[in-house]
Amino acid sequence: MEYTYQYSWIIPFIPLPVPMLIGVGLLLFPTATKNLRRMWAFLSIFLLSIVMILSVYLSIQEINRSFIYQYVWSWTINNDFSLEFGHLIDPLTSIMLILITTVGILVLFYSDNYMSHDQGYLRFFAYMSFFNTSMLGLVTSSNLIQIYIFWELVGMCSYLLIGFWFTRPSAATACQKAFVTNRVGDFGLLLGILGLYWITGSFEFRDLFQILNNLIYNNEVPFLFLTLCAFLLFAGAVAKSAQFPLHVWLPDAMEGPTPISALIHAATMVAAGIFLVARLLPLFIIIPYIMNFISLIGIITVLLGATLALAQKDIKRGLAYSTMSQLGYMMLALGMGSYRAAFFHLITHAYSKALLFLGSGSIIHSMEAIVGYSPDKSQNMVLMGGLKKHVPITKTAFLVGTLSLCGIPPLACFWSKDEILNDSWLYSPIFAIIACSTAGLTAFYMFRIYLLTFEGHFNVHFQNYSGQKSSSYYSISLWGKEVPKTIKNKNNFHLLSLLTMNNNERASFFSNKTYQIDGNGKKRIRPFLTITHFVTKNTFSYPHESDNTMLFSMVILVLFTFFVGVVGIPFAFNQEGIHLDILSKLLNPSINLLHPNSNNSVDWYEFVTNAIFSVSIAFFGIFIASFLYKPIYSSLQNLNLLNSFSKRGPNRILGDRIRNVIYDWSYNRGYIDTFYTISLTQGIRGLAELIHFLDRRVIDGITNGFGLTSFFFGEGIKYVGVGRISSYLLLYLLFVLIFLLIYSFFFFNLNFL
Amino acid sequence: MLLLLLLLTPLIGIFLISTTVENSNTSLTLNRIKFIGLSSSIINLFISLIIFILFNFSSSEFQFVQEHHAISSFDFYLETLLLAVFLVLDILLFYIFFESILPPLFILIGLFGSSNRVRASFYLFLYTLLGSLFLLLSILTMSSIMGSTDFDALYKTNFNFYTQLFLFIGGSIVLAAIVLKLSLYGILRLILPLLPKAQYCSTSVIYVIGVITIIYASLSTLRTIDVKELIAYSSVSHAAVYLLGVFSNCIQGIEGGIVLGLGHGFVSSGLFVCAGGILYDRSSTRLITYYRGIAQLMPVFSILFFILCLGNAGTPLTLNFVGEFMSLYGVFEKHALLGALASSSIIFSAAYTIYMFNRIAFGGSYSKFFVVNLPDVNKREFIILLTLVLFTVIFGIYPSVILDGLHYSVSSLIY
Repeated sequence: MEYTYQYSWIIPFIPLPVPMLIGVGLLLFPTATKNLRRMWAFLSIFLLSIVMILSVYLSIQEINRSFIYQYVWSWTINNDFSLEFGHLIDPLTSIMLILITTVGILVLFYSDNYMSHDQGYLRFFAYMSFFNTSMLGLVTSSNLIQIYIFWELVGMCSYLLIGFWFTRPSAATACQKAFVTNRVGDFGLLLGILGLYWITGSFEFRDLFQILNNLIYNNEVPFLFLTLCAFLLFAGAVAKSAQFPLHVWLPDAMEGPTPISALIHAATMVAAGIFLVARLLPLFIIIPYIMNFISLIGIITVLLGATLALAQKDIKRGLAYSTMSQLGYMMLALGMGSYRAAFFHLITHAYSKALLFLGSGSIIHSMEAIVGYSPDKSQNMVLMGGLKKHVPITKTAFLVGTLSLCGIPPLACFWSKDEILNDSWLYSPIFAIIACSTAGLTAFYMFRIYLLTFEGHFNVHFQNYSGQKSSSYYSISLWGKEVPKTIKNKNNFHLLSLLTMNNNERASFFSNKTYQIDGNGKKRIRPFLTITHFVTKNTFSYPHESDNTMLFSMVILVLFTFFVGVVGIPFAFNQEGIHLDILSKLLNPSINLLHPNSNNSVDWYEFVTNAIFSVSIAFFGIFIASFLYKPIYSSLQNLNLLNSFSKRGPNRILGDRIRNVIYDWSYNRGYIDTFYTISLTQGIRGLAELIHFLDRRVIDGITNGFGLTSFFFGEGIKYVGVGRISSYLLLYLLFVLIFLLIYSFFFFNLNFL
Repeated sequence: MLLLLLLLTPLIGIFLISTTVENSNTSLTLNRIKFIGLSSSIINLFISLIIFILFNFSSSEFQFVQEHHAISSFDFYLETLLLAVFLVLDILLFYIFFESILPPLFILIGLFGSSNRVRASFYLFLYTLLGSLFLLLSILTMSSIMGSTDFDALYKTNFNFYTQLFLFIGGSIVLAAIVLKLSLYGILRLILPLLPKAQYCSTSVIYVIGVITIIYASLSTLRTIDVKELIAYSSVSHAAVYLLGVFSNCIQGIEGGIVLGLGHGFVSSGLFVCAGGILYDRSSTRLITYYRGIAQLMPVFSILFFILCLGNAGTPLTLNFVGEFMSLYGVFEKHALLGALASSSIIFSAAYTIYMFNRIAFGGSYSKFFVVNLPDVNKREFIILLTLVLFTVIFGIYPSVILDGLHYSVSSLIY
């Protein structure tokens, strides 16, 4: 099967015909192409399946074989500057290939149903296939330029996909934000590439590290400059993987359709940054500062993402922040040098998060029919609740995903997260404490999402779901049971009104609109539903379970979530030391900072104690969440317990205040977006205004002033040369006088001397 | 022979048009004029392509291909003159043709411009003449030293340093100011071969000016709400990038500058067709604030517009990316810090281009300001835009076609 290797460069281009054919088809035969919509979906899934089979085959070969490195064609510029395009398939690539294709196929399968009522069904599949192409191209790149090219294409696709529903102004702003924020990272990446080329004279990964090592060995390298370049390269990864300073685009990117959130913003595109850091790890590992910096950024992101996820109302935003936090874990692991753990977590997290997103898509789909087609309503967890009766399969799938993300043992994320936490203890205790406590927070916010969505009663039918009347029996606020939202209503000063962005959305909930259940295509017919008065209305409508195709994808992902942990379970099951651990076979422990003795099998006892510790933290988080968010009316004892807590006088006020501070921090996205708005956007706007002023007043002013001066000068001259003898005589006398004055001045001066 | 044909074709076009204009102004004659205009432009393009193919790349000269979709006879005049400038080999003739571009431009802007046209045409005239003054002075100096104004003779001379510096200042003022592609050509033709010493030692000054121009023009671009103004300002910032590339004194930078100039020529003319020819034609406004959700009404237009915007932002697989990357590489190799600052154009260009596209094509449902429906592109517009898009993308994927032809002549420009 040498052919497979020879022609494996074709992998990224296999899904490419779909967008091209759809584009040409829509231009030339629009109606025919639209009528064949299912065929296009089938074609794109089929092509992606081919890629999957190929990549599975390649990675099986990869376990025993060294990597493939092939040169295909080049842009020759001159002898010392040529860009060679080729492809590199090593274990890293093959893992990414499998990940992208499996999640991609499931998401495409899912979105066939999810997008079936959408006008842009074909457009969606074209974008998705093009996205898959560029993502596959990114992971098979053999040099930095190629990475940069596909990196930008991925950014472009995500722009199109986030702005898929461009008629929604918020989506349009979100995609612009994503593109520009990613461009900031690309700027760093490009500069880093140029700098690295300047040092080493090569773009190829193969040569790059070798030359760099030689240079370092001979001590010929400007170390500061190299650090700077590495930092800039890392900046690219920061933007793509939504790490701390440039994370702002990720939650906004949730404006895109949910399958896109699942594919791009959970499984693949955000993994590109991790992939880049992993690919360049031989470079970063030379520079300890950068490694420390990476882990620092990672830990900040872990904590920030987790705290911001605490009080999101929108189910997808909550998940987006949790993605950010998990990506922080991966970055942390990379920064610590435990390459394997990072990749293990990347894989497990990708499947779990894709599952969660597809689950939330299913929820949104069922909610949309009842509350209306606005993300403010259909994704709002305040309006959900009690869905477990109505969408049981989705509920189970979502619960599995939640438990996996919390790190409950048999599920995938437990294994990887546990590994990262263990390694962090070896690296630095402070980081380890933060990482572990964030594991608790993860469990808390994930269960908050789960409980708000599935437990209790369906909240659409209760009037005061916004939690303003805390005395009401059914009131459910976002933060526990009784949050006096006094701070939020105090819009006294300018800053706060800026900060509380979504404050006026409450008004729109009660607008007297009649929503029609859009039943086109779906076979079930429902009557009109008026949500004018929730209290007087007796005929409630309840959400329904999604269709089979959507559920099928979710079930497959549930299976993945259960069993994908097997690839990297870090100890030998039998005494002969035969590893079941496929991952370590793939990722040879060539880079391993924390475990100097390359004995991969971890001691049972040590493992169990660590596991018990992390699981207990997770359970603690779950307990707190269920204590706060488990609806009151489900258990009366809980109410009594709560009352006993709440009647503690001054302590309670203090507790509320702390809670409010955390709530506001989280709800307003840590004020980071606002800070950017105030500092960067306003600053640049001010600068642009200043430049406008310069342009109009100063530079045009010079020209205009020149014109005006010459005009007045001419006007003045006009009066001199009017032809009157007397004025000529006057001038004549004046100049003679001046001449005489000067002459006499010099003459007398000379006399003195 | 071919060169003469190249110059004569637009002139014949002018002659034919000016004879037909005498007749009554029916739609038939108008069509005939358009036909003559288009066909002579196309013939011209073909002649230039033939020259391009027949050209011996191993000699150190190169011709540019300029394409204009002409409508009036003045435009033709302009085209003839542009071609003349690109072809002449005598510096005085260069100057003469250079200056004679002004009257037709002046008349074109003054007659067919929009609200502020008189002011604009005056500005153009004054600024250009101001620059030309210096160019003329430098040419006079050169001819007084050498006694000749022929390029071949001038190339062989080696002026001393201070003369070079003086001439350099004179020359670069004019060239940086005017018709952007022309300035690129002027730099390649005049400054780099004639004045290498001055060019070499004043690079840092040029670079500082260039970087300031990039940032200044980008910020100006960010705040404009007029589509055409936005594209024009972005041209300024791109021009600064390729000028920096050309002055980088390395093959990559110079080639990158030329490629970016070419790519930018395709992309910005495409964007101007989009903004002025299509959007303004249909909606009679150029302000971004009035546009919204065009993608709903004009999907085909939006696709082409999007690709052109990506080209303007320098996304990979467009010719602009190749040019921008190579120019920036040249700048970076010459001066790392200024190169880094110049690279900020990546962020800025993305910001303003995406802002423009986002506001016009996305950004909510169809704007309430428009009462009438906007039809999608018709065949003519589609073919114009598609040509430009295809050029941008094909050369972007495989730029070797252009680059291979440039190696030899560029390597003679390096000091």
